[in-house]
Amino acid sequence: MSQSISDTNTTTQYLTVNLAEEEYGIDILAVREIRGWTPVTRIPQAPQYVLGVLNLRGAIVPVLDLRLRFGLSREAYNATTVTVIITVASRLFGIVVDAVSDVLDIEDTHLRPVPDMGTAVDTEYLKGLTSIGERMVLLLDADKLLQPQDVQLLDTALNAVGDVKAVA
Amino acid sequence: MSMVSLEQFHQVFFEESLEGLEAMEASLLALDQGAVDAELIHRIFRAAHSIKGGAATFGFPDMAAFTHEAESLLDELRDGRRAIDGPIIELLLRTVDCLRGMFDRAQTGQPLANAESDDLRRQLAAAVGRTASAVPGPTAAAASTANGWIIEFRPHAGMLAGGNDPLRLFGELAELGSLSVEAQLDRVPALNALEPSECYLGWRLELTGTAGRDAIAAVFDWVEGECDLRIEPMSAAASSVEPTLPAKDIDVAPAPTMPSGAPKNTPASSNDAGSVRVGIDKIDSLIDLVGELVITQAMLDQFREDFDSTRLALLQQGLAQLARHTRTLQESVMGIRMLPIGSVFNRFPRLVRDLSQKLGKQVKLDMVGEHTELDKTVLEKIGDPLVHLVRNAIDHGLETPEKRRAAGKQESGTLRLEAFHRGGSIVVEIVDDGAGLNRDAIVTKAMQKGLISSADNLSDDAVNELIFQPGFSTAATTTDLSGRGVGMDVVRRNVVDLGGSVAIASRPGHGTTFTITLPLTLAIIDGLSAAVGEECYIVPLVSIVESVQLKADAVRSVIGGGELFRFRDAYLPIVRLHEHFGCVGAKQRIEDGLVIVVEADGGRVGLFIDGLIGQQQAVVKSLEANYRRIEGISGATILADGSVALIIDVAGLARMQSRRRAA
Repeated sequence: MSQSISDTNTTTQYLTVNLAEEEYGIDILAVREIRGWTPVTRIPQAPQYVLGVLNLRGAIVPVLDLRLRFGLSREAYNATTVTVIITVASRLFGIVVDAVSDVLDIEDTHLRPVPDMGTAVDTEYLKGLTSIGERMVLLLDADKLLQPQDVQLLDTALNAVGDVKAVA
Repeated sequence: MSMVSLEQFHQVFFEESLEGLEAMEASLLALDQGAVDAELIHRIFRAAHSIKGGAATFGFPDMAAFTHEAESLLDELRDGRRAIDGPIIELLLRTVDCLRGMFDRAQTGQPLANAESDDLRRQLAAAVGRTASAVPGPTAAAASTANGWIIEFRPHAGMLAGGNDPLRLFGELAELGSLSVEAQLDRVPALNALEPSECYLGWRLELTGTAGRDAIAAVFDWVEGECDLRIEPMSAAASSVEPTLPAKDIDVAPAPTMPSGAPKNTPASSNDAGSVRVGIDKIDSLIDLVGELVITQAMLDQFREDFDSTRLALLQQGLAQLARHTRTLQESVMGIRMLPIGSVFNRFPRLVRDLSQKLGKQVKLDMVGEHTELDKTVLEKIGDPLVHLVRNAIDHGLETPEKRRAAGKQESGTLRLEAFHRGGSIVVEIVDDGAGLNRDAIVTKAMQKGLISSADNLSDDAVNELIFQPGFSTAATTTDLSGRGVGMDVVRRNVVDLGGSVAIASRPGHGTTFTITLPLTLAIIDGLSAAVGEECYIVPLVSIVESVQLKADAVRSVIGGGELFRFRDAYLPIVRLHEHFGCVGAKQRIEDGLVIVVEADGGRVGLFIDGLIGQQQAVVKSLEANYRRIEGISGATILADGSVALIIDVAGLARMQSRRRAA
């Protein structure tokens, strides 16, 4: 919404989380809740990074591990491991990160495009990066985390297979 | 007053009007059966009047004009200027149908009037005109002693706050005759004392025409109690211009047809379902709350079995949670999901009337237990199966008067719809005293269709069951049968989809009873929790036939990797849940675990699990709300410890299994 007003500096607040020695920012308006790590119920036929579902006051919420999502390995869930519950398009999901760190005000003009670099993360899931002093913060595009194109493609493919079988 | 924000009230207007139409229809049908009750006519009139007023206010002039004609006719009926007979009731019933059509079109934004409504409108107008010319003089005298009326209309200061628009009132009056309006400004204060939201004006209106006092008073129904009103014949008022006294709020000749407040009560009089109007989101949040309450209770229940002082803090926490949930529940108890089944039953008097007229049969419809409450979702989906059964009962079950007389029965058949509670379920019975099912015809049919090879060993019940078989019969072939069967498999499938069942009992010559058993709600199911590895799945109790422990040699492997076991007289496939769902640490050997025989879509399979944990009520939660559908899983629920367990979709699992074997 801020892009249209180009000459005034708008700031967006980001919640930053730690993941594999790097710092990632999530638009704080998308963050619904931060909760300590609790085991989840595994669900079948899910991508490996979808750990399962948890009970968020009566709502069934899928949880994905950001480390697994980005192709890293998960060593252990410890005391600082947290689940950040995020709302995207009125859907809720949780992401598991190593720790939450900070809330930052970042001016939109300070957003830089992501160079194709050697970070662990596929740049597809980032909408920009910024630096705060010596720290570099990668800003996550939450919309693309749970249902990236590959999952959707997979779903359509599975449905198509199902239809063929049903006809046969 | 601006018309800007009126659209937001359209939905409410539609809903209220549809209720009004239902009330009209019900009253018309009561009149059709010979009930002579002035209140019925009044109810019809009030409903039509509300629709007319609403339509004019909310900008549906076509509808207002159409209803106006119907209202004129009703006015004659109400004043006793015209007798109620069959053709008039028929005409008014068609008017109701036509108005329904208009509302449908209004909701989708199409033009309201069409050829049908124009034609009907002319017929209504003609009907009114006929009496006016046929019955001149004295009957109309009461209505128009004078050439006109003088109306003193003094709104109270707060009238505008109630949403009443004097302009609209005058508009309605102008329809009754030629109107002249004179504003009275004597109460308007100085500008600095003027409260902009209040009404200081009064009006003196002169209405010339033949309109009756009642018709004028009816225009002011909505502002009753919010104004001082005097209606006087023109000649009388001309001589006495006395100031209006606020001694009585409304100073009209007592209008017998309009007891105070009556218009507001109209829809509520016959069925209370109409007044329940709750946003579905509110209802769902309430169900969530109930779910949490159940969970909290289960959590507290654990303390009953083993409790020691070290867990005191947990207990206190649980109690606090219980208190919080109870309070929230109390607060949101506005939303009520259960609705009386009467709202579904309401459509049957009309259906029965139309159908029996068409088929030349005499049918008496008894409805019992309309106030039995059902889950809204179930209620919405049970309508069609019920219509189907009622239609069948009249079409095929009940005989013609001649046949009934020959069989020594009363000429008019009885069809009884009854709803009542039994255990945790709702039972709906459709009972007719017709000919009953014709065993021979069904057997012949079934043999033709290849469903059975011989009927020798079949009990009557088993034969009756045949009509639920898919493809048993089609509409074209059943009419020559005295049995039934038009899409009975569809009826059964719909009911089963709702988690219910249909049973049939029939005695030749005495009639047939269909018994539909439905769950009270879809939101909570009874289930068994099954352990698979470290995980716990819920199997719906309704689909479980039996659980068996098999020996290793009881299982036959077939080519392609499938496994079968013998259950009673059949071989059933085994579905290993852990393989389907990829659970780790599950038991692999058949003799270590348990096989639950489950039934879905008419077929049976054995689910292989580690063991059963226990029975519990599960509050069904959607996985799709935040994630997506998972094959073989119908939803999720929350266990006593707050963790999530998945609910098994037995039918889906059976489909997966057969696909797997096909692959």
